[in-house]
Amino acid sequence: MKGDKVFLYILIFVSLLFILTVFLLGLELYLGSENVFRTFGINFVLTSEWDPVKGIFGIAPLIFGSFITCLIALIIAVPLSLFIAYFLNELTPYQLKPYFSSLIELLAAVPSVVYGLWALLVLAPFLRDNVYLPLQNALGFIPFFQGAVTGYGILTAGIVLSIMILPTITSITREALGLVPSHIKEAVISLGAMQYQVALLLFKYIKLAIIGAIILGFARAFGEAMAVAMIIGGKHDFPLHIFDTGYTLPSIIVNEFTEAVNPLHYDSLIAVGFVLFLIALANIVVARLIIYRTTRFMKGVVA
Amino acid sequence: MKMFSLKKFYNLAFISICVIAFVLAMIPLAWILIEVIIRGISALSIELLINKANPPGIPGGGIANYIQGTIILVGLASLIGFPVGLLLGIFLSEYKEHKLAPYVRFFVEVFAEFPAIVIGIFIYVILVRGDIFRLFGLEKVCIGGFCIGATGFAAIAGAIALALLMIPIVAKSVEESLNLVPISIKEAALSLGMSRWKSVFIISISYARSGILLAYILALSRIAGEAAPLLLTVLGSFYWFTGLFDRIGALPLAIFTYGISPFEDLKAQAWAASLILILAILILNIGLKIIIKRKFAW
Repeated sequence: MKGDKVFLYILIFVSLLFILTVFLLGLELYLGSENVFRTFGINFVLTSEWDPVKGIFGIAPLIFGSFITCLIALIIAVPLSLFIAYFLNELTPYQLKPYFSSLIELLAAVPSVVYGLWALLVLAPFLRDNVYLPLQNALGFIPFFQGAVTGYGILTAGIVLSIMILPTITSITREALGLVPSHIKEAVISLGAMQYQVALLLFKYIKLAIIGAIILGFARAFGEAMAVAMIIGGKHDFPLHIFDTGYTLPSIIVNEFTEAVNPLHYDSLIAVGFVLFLIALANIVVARLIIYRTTRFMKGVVA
Repeated sequence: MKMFSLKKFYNLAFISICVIAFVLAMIPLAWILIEVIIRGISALSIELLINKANPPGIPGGGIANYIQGTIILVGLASLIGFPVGLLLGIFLSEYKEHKLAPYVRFFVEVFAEFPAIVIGIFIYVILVRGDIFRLFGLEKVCIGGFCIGATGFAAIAGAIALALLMIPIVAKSVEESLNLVPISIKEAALSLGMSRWKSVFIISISYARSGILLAYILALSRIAGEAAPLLLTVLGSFYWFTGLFDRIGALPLAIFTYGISPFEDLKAQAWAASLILILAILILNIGLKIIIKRKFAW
């Protein structure tokens, strides 16, 4: 019918427009920062001097800062998420499940500026006085723990990021746990396996999906701007110890964009965005492919 | 016998760790909500809610213009983002067999995970700075007497950035809720001679209306709290809304700029703004979920 054809064409047009936008995004970010890459070449990502007034831009410390904060976030969030996912799927009584899981989802609903405000004014001072300083007193002989403790910096940023990515990793793990064929679980339970043994088996079964979830959580943490910008401390250099301040790729855009001093400074921030885009894109695509493959495989087994 | 008790011990330890992990995750949630509620309420007043912000240096002032700004931005974003997301969702669910569908789904899922700040920079580059026009060698595009060039920091640019964030969220959840429509109903409609697009709009969408409304609300509550893309596209303002091509304020931006300012009264206003934002999101998330379940459930 004629109406159907028109409708389908409209849908295809909108879809193509959408795909085109995604390509345009990559293209325009590249074109917008082209002269930065032309001026500095590969040194842009390899050197560490960032001086807007002199017009020298290198982002190696920012990339390092991004990776280290995300690593801290993952170290905290991944084990917690796995335990929580198992707790919600297998151990929570049926009646409580929806309430408990919406509580975890609420963590994802809190806006990132509110996380930032809380971390800036409440969490960071609290951690400094009650955790970091005692920790430094106890372990201060290790160089890694020496240095000024302000409460702001990579460790606090990592902790806040871990809270923010926890719901992501939890929900993907839960989805995968729900797809494990029940006969596998029943078989081990009938052999007299305890909960922890069942958990071990299930996690082994969905390990690919967990890896996908971890990469996706990493990508989320990597792109988080506002909360990190408020607590990272803003130092254009490599963090020297665990309590040190630093910078990440998204947070420098937030902090310097409104007060950029010259066109090259703007372009450099756009170039930072382009690097961020490339890293995030790689992570997301890999994670999505892994999650696709595993869930399709498991759905195939169920069917 | 010893083996057996060791196993029991491991098991108990494992279960307690699971419970402890859940409780640990709840601590920051409770902590944030309590801080926001206590500090927000103590900062909240009628004047704060009806007055606009004062320019820096002048004490007092309110946050009403930020509330207005957020409502305008989110509303404008919905005008663009919701229809596009809905159409994409329809395409993904109703035309699964189409050879474009898997690609579109992949792009939607990738786009959904893009850092919000990347989308902010994108809109900054193409609209605020106007590179999209330069790509075609133009300074501005004129249709009749109406010209669009580089917008500068403008409400419309912020709304488009938020719309881009909204599209994949709406598309994904619309797809999911349309997938739940029983195939028998669609087949019945088609076998009675209804054309396909009519069956989509009359049968599928009306069957899945609560899911689609929820998709919209989910997207709304997600974009209402976004600050990063707005910072790069609207920059914030101390004044009431003056036009689509002017700067505009928004609650998340106010929370950011007031939160990092050294003044105690501005910090207090940031808490009040957080309270309003979180209340709006919670009401959208929880309240409407309950209402929809009661009123529209089949």
